[in-house]
Amino acid sequence: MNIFLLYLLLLKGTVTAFAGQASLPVVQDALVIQHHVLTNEQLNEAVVITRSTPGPVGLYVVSVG
Amino acid sequence: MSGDAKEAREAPTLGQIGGVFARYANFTLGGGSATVAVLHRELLDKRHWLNTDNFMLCFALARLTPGTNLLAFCTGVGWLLRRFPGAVVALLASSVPCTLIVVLATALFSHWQENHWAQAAIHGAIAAAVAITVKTCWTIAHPHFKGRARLRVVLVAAAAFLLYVAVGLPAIEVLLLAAVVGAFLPPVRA
Repeated sequence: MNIFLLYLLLLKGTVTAFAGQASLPVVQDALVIQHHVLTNEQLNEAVVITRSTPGPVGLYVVSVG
Repeated sequence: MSGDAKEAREAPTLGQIGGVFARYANFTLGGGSATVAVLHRELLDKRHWLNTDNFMLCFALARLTPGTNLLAFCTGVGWLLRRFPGAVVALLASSVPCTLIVVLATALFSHWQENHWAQAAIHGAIAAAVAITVKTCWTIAHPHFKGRARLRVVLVAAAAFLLYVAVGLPAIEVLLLAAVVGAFLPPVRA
């Protein structure tokens, strides 16, 4: 996937959500359902990793990237 | 507004701001809420850089801002302490180190996935983070949970919880609705 498109999709998820993980449905819809560049299992792993490390949980988008 | 009589002291240096946010915004497990609880202790109780009203203002505005609330909160606090340079330092200090940690953790995840002890440690850390998050809720609500206002706090919180969880209303709409309700309710003496 084009890195700029990935940036735009993740940006869309984060600017339309008002909490760290509230962007999850938008990111799932864009990357798992529409573009098929990520599986639900990988998305789940990204959330678990970020939940298990210090810092904001919204950084799961870094792990997704 | 609050019973906090302590006034904020002289503004800290950029190095001090960066040090505090690098340390506490990056190395606190449990997400934004847990980190806010730790920052509340560090910024108000220990260092007295902010007063309760400014802390609550930053917290409320961060909740109303799209994106990661914690980063907005840290940026807001940095702005209050040293304006634009403070905001930039606070944002960078609170985001760059933990971003690198997430990148490293993601790279190592496949190895950790098979490790029983590492998995058990992560589950333990998550349980502790839940407890810290609950404490954060009390830290935020406590200054307003006095006298006749108690019932009002409970009712507004319960209604917000139901609208967000049961009805599925977006968080921003719940917050705006609560703000409108708060604006029209008559004042209550604590």
